[in-house]
Amino acid sequence: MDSLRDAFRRLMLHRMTFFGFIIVVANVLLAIAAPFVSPNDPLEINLQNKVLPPSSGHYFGTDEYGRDIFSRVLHGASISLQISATSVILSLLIGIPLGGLSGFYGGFIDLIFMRMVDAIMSFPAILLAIGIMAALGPNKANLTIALGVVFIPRIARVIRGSVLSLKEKDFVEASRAIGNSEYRTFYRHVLPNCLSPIIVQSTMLFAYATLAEAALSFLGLGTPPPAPSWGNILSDGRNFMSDGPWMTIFPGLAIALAVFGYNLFGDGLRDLLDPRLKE
Amino acid sequence: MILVSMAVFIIIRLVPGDPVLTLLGPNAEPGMIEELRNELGLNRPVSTQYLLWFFKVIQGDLGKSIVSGRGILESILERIPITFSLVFFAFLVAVVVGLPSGTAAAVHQNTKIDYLCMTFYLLGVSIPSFWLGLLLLLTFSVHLQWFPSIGFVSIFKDFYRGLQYLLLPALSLGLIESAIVGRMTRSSMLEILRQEYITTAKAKGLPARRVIWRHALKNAFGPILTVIGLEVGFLLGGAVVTETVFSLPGIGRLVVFSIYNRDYPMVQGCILFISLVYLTVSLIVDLLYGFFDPRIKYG
Repeated sequence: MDSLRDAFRRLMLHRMTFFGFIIVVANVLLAIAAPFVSPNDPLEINLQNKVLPPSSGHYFGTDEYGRDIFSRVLHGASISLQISATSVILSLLIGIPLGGLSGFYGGFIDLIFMRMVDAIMSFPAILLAIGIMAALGPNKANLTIALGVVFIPRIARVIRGSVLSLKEKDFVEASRAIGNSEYRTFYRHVLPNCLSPIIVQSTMLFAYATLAEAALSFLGLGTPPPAPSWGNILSDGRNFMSDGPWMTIFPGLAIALAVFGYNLFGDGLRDLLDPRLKE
Repeated sequence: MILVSMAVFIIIRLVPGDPVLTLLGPNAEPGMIEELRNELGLNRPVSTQYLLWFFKVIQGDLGKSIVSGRGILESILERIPITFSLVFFAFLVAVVVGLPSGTAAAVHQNTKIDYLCMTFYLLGVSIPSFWLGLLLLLTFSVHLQWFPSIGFVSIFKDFYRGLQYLLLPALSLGLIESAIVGRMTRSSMLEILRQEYITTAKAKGLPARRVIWRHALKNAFGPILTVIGLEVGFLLGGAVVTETVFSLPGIGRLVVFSIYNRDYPMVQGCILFISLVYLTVSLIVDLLYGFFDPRIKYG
């Protein structure tokens, strides 16, 4: 825990990571505040205002139904964050016990779990998500499940790796020696020490979830329209590229900025939490 | 391979509801439903269904499309040259941009060149490839009109015209991937450049270029190769989205189109096919390892 506090202090000193942290926090705040701060209803159709360029009334212009793109992009942040967060949490809930048990107990459990992980990892990630969405049908809950399934093996592998290296350490041996049960040793001593790789991997998956949510919605396999997901706004804008390029430019910028923030923050965290890179 | 086939089979069996009812519509007669169910083998136990399907698959029979009635393998083979050429050119872009820039960044660590490359990499991993595709389309096809924005000509029919249709999609997919290749090249090269044999090579008075290309890059290639192998998976997945953006009639477009049409055998066949291609590439990459790193021997 002290190492985490230490890392947080150094985070404040590391400029790029701090910049990433600011973007992430801004994104989260905007996503939460979207219903209160957005100037218009993101679903309100107003055909008199259709395909208007950006102006003081509509900062990002309007789409073919006269909906305010600024409000839609703000609400898009909220949808994107909901799906990314729940899918990463889902993968953590399943991936951590899976990878942890696999690494800690080894043997038959390890063999079975890791073959399952290999099978899932042998699909290109986005293709697996597309396949699952095709089977389950496009809605937000299914999208969360699809991304969660894609992420579970990635979390499980990272956890297994760090548990494998930790279980040989003296403090684990000491915990057993003083009579702690295997469960308590695992839960109280091994797992808390896996925290840094979990945090780093989660940030990376967050970035990937944001991109994947947008891509799947763009294909019509994610959040169903008319919900203002970033991918949906881009998909609508595709038909108006010459008359309304702002429909394509602004939602894409929002995705890129959000993912840029996650990546910057994640890279910095990795440098800060990786003991090998400490001076 | 068997695990992948099982996974594909299970995913498609997750489809809620009865595929036969979906196919025939809600007003179908019970007799017809039963007949189709028999025909598709859906009344047998799932394990038997899987085995029957699996034995057909290893004989190259992926079944028939339930929408067009055409053979699935035939449809895939017809479209695969388009997807492969897209992936090939995107791969070329990724390597041609990623390798030299990553090497330059490592050699000139902490200079303007390094910072420029690092910024490019960070942007590359943050920008969605389909958005970059849309922006390229917007700039070069819609506004400047340098490239055609609709239609398609295969490079196998007319190379130069085909290239005009492939260039923007390949750039949008490849530039994003070049960021990942570049990042890996940089970090791998940085590690190697600190080794003593590099100092020795420099001390012997070898020209810097020779030290970098012959001594450093060859040794840094192992980890880079892993990333390049993984890249092919990203490219194959990314092709699905890119083909949709640029309306290229490849296998990715076929997957999306089949999903819209609820043509599940076709979706199943396409996903299995792409995954097997990916597995094969991963295997080749593993074998290539030994070539670049003689310490690895296959017994």
